[in-house]
Amino acid sequence: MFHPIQPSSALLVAAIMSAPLGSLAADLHVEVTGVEVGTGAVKLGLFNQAVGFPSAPVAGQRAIATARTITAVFRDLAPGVYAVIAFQDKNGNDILDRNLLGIPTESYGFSREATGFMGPPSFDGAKVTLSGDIETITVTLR
Amino acid sequence: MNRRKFLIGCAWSGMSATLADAVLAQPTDPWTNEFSQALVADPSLEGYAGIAFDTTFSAKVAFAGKPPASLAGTLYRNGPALHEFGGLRYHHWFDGDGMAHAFQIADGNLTHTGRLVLTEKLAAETKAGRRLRAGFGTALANGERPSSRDSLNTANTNILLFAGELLALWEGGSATRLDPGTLATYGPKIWRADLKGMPFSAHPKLDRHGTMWNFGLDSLSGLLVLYEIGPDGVPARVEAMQLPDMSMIHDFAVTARHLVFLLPPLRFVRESFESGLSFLDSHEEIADAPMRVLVVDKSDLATHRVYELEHGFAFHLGNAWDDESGVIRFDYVRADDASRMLVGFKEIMRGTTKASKPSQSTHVTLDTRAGRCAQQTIVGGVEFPRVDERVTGERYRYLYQASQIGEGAIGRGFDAVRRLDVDSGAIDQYFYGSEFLAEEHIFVSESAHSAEGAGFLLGTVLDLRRRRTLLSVFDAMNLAGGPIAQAILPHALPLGLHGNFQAA
Repeated sequence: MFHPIQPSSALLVAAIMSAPLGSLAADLHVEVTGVEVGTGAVKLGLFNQAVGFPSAPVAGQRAIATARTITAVFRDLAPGVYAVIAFQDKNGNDILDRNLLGIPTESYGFSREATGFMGPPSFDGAKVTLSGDIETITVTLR
Repeated sequence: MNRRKFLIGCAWSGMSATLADAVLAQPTDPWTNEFSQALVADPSLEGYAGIAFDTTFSAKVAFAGKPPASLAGTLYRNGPALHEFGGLRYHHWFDGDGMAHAFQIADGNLTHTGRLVLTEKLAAETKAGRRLRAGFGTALANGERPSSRDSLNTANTNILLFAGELLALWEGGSATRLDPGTLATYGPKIWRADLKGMPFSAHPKLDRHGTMWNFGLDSLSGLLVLYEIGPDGVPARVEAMQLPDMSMIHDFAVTARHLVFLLPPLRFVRESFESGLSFLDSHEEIADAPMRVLVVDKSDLATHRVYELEHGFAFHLGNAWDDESGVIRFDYVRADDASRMLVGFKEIMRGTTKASKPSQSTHVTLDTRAGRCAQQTIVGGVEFPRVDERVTGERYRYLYQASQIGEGAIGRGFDAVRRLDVDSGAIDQYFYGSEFLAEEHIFVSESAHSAEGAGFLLGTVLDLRRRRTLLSVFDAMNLAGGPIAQAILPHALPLGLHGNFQAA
């Protein structure tokens, strides 16, 4: 089941520190669609392994809901496999709210538009490969 | 029905089947052919044929006889209707996407509107031109894995107007909001932001204060969610309790002090569901195990007790009431086992019917202090129990039930409607005839202050000879006298499930 996503600045720093510098670094552009304009920031979490997915991201992003589609960028990543979750934090409490049964009540989506079996997808289901300089993926909030 | 649309619908279905065969290399599912062949040989299967995906109904007809002036309003009904799509025929009667019907009674005329509920599931499937999601009783070899309860929501079980909103109900997910006039679909009902996507069952109960009680069952987590919703549509209490041994629960009853659930001895096997079996087939009936009665205290939803009845199965409860001495009395429609749901409602979808022992009205006296249960069964096959809703949760005298008298309806449904006097056991009954299939009939009181039972009974029946659906109005105190007004629609509707009346 889902757990609240609270990307901490410490994790973010750790992610940046561990990223290789120079020509090896790549950027992951995430186009988030299905955004409800003006109702709360879009939050993104980045994962580089199955452990901690989808509750403990290695990096986080936050974007203001200014348009139906917004773009967030994770910069200077080492080439490899990544998965992304995005959700719209409509009530601004920094977490993906869930109902009594653990089902998210705010709109959310995963990279590769992955869905799971009555719950979140697996890391493998949502993973994308980052090899070049820039990779652009789409996540639709539902 | 629009004839041209119907023909296009047929052509589209056929084309999709061809596409699916060629592109997906799926073996053609034989149920579509088996059913259509069976239907030619046995026209009494008509009610299970279903409609084409682009069917809408719109008709206005005059009543024969005179509907009473005090009976102005709309009977809303719902039921599985889209059984075949994209070359696939569902394998269970409960799988079909729901069609909402409004039967509006005004000035001696009946206006019928029928429209499929455009759930997220149906929208995705019509866009794809084929089935994508599993049904309650149908697994899909090349389908999407269900991502949430509502991804499987067919909104096909019940419909009622509450706090100004028309809601199409299903039991595994959200209610669906519809336009009360056009029946156009708005989307899922969200009672409160933190309740989005929760299961909300199809048999909510309204007490005399206008409070709505309901439940939702989450088989995956083993949680039973309980809802108390104010007359204004605002949830007062929503709590979840862990259910000891998950079961399948379709209906419940309320009393002044309690919520009463019957838990048939069915076990949900999560691994089966995850391995791709249908939700229904992920249940096992536990031989010889008792049917449990779960009694929840309304004043403290965390307090409950469990009692036992002999092995059996139930979809529906009629009503319940309790007294100061701690005795709860309730009725339910009892089957000896779950075979009708597990097997019968599958087989009918391929045109096979088997005679089985009919389910019977069964009356339980439960002494909560002594921990004793006694039950008495009343002869005659019945289903779809209803009461004068003003006595919900209180001592009641009359039960209205669809009943089976003749041989023709065996395995297909009901051919009569009856009023059972719970105090005396007396039965007032009307037999439609051997070539009719009667659906749920609903009581409408004559006025807000009239005595229990004074009013009308309304219901639809499928006339197999004419291939027409009829709406009948009875004097609820004299069913045997036959309908006092009846309207014949220009079309036959799929046999449906439940509905409710909304006065104009």
